[in-house]
Amino acid sequence: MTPQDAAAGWQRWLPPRLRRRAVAARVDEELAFHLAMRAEELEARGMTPERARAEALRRMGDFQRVRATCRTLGEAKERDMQRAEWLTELVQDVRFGARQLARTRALTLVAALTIALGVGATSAIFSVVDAVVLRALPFEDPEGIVRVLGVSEGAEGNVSSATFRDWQASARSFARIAASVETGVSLTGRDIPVLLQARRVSADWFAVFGVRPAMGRTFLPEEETPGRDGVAVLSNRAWRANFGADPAVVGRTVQLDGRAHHVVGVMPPSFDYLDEADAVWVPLALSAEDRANRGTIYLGVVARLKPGASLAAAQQEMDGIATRLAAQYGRQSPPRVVVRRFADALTGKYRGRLLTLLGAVGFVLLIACANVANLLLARGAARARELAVRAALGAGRGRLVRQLLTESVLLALLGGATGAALAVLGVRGLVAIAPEGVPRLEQARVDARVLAFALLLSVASSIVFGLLPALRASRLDLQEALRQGARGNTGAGRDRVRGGLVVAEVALALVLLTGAGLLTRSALLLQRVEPGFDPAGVITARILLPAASYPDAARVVDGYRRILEETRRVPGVAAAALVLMVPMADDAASVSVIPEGRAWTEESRVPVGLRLASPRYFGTMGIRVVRGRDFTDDDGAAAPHVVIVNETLARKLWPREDPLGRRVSGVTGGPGDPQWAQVVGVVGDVRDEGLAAPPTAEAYYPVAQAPPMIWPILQRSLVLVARAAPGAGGVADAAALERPLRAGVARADANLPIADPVTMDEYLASSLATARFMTLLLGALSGIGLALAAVGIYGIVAYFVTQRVPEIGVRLALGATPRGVVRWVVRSGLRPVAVGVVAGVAASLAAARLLRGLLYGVEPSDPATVVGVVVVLGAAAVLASFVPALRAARVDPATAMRG
Amino acid sequence: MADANAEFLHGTLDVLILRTLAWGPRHGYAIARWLETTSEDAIVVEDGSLYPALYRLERRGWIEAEWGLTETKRRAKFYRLSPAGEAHLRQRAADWARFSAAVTRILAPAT
Repeated sequence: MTPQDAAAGWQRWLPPRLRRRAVAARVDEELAFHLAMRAEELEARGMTPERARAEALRRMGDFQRVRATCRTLGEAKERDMQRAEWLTELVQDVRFGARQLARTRALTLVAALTIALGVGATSAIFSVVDAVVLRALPFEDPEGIVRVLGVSEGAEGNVSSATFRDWQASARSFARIAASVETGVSLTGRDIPVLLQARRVSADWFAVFGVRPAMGRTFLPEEETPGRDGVAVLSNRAWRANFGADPAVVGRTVQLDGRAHHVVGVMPPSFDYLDEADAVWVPLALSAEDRANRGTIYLGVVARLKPGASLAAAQQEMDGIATRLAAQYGRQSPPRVVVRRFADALTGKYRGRLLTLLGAVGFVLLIACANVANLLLARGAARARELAVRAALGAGRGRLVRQLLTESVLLALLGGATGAALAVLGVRGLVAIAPEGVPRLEQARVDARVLAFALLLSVASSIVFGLLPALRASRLDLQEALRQGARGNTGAGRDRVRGGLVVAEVALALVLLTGAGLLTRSALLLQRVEPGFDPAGVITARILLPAASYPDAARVVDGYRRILEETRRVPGVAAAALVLMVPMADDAASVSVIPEGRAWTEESRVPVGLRLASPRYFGTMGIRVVRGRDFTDDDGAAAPHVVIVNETLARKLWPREDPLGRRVSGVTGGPGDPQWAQVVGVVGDVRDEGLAAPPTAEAYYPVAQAPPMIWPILQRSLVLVARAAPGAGGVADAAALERPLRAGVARADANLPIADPVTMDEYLASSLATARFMTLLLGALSGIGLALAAVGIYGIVAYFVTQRVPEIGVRLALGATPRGVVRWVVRSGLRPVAVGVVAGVAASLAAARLLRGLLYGVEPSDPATVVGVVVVLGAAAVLASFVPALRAARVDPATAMRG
Repeated sequence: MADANAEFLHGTLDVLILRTLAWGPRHGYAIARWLETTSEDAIVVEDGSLYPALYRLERRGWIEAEWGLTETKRRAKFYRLSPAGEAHLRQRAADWARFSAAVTRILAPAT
């Protein structure tokens, strides 16, 4: 090889500009040679040197063009060569890398599995959380949808019709603003009348969400007028369930609440996200008088921000409007107005749990990365000698780095592919084992973003920790590397890094486990909380009496009386009653009352949960009557008005006195007409808003004594509650009562629909479902984190043993017992673990404080949990150290010392 | 005569170069001289077409190049036939033989 050829070798590494110059130089040299030879030939034929040169040049033709063509071709050839070479080297590297990985099969498998677990677990769990909580609302630009809430008496909520119209007229920040109120409609005219949850909406309501109907259209502005409002829009769910997915449903007439309505449209399935219960939408058609009503508060307002308008700007504008209206209308206008993003209402409930889960996911990823780092560092150290030798034999440093890089990437891809498969399986598994009632779980799919992120992270950590030892090794002096013997001394520095990684892993795992432990204990304690009622065998169904057949209070009360009679006659019903709403059903109604003896001021009004109840409700529901008595049939409309309070309300109003005989104002009591009702009984508290929330103050008034004007507001709706008699096996089957109940109600009134019956057990379960599920997920993550940490500990102890084989041989030869060796190995393995535990306990005490909002019945620093977690982790660490320790004990001193 | 030559050479220049190199490695000037000498100046390769042809052939992988020293100790780029080039040459030679035989038959005077 001539020096020039060698030069061509390194010229490959030149940047393009210099390479081109090299090519051009060679072209020029070649052409110059040719011209010189041609000129010599011509001179030999007798030309003068000048003429010979000129002739030679002429024969070349267009010299510049030849030169340019040759240069271009030369550069092209260089590029081709480079690419071919690069490809060959890549294939070589991949094959080499695969062989290397196969040689250390155990380590490769463990590393790949670690990556797979990290990637798979985190992707699966994040995907599930995404579906349940985070899934983007399927509306156009969901960020721009807001709720506008009136704030009065400290509570944010609905407003009156007149207030809404004022807002509609004056607010400039909104492109659209709409109001709605939930209601129930009875769908009749078919074999079984059905009670559907419905919503009365103003015409712009659908436009606020920006979702087009799948079939037909939504409402027109003129349909908001009474008389022109005989139209309805169906939800996709209702279209399937109640109309058999009839493709020709648009234009059909249906009987809603006894009136004919034309179906004008059907919404797409994605719109079901909005409120999973809404089945039908009808126009909010108010008479002029109702429209101007400022006193009745019942409309929920949503709006869409104008493009470019910010939430803060809208809030500012509404603040101004609220002040102006309050000045004009005083108490009848909400003193404050709040604008909130619509999406917050959906995720707000879960925010705390969500963040916890995300944190846990992050921890597991970190532990996985630390593990992979540990394994790769160990492997790198073991190969220091091999790398030094290869470097000395002429492998360029760049090539070595590339080979190691390829190996690391191969490993990461292997783990990543397995992890992706695990993620898919994991999502399916989680959906299968999840408890009943977790919303939207069936829509969980592996989320590509998270998968990509986890993969990226694992590739990055593989590369970094695969390369680090290589870079260090390639700088090693060959002699030194060989001198350090076959095992290659790692040096204290590297051991410290690996030890540090184990400390970090153990600490992270400890925090994870503590969090999971605390949440699990909370969940268990929560399940033991007394709900305040006995759900076994109780089934409930909401009934709505249509205005047409039950126009006044007397007929309403009588209608319900007949329903109760029929229900009580049904065989299998041990007890039945009526109540305004059942606990844990996500319903709310409140009024404010004043106990007798206080002045009638705003401050002395006490907000209470309003409950209307028939006699024997408490017995049917299994609620304790603590003092006094239940309602009887004698507590009729003409009899003295009575009320029953729960313990919380009794404590609030009359802290240390006997509530019996005291009086509170009635449901619609006011300063002029208090409608005093006498307390005749005190009942036990009921966990109305779920087991975790403290019970609220509730006042029960007899159904028969409800003020007539309240029935329209309550839509003449009560819930029928029935307790099943114990069956053959002594178990009361509530679900079996469903058909008999429907039949009983039909006997009272054939056209009366009841909503889908729900047992109290189902309500109880669904209030716990999501919390339980999240705890399950966290437990799974912690388990994985623990397993990974154990693997990490095993790895470092195993490596320690491999490094110290000669030393072990010496110890054994000098008389150490195998048991002593085992103890020594385990002790040295546990040293970083101990440090990690201390760090982890400190960290978890700090982190647990963040969990406070999610815990029930346990303190964040619960000592029992911490101790339990430390014991578990310690046991796992000992076990992980034991296996290599046993191997150490079996070392043959003779062979060991021979090195 | 020269024009007819130019037509024949276009596209056959590659084959001629390959054939020349079959006799052994040569630098560009030597190839030109050899062609002129062997064809008794019937084929005059314009120097300006020779080198682009050589570069093209090198890129296609039919010839390989190496810098070396001439007998007079001057630096020059020597080309030689690659195995792929040999195979290509054999095939083109066969094609050419068939072609020229066919043309000869057509052009043969009727007897």
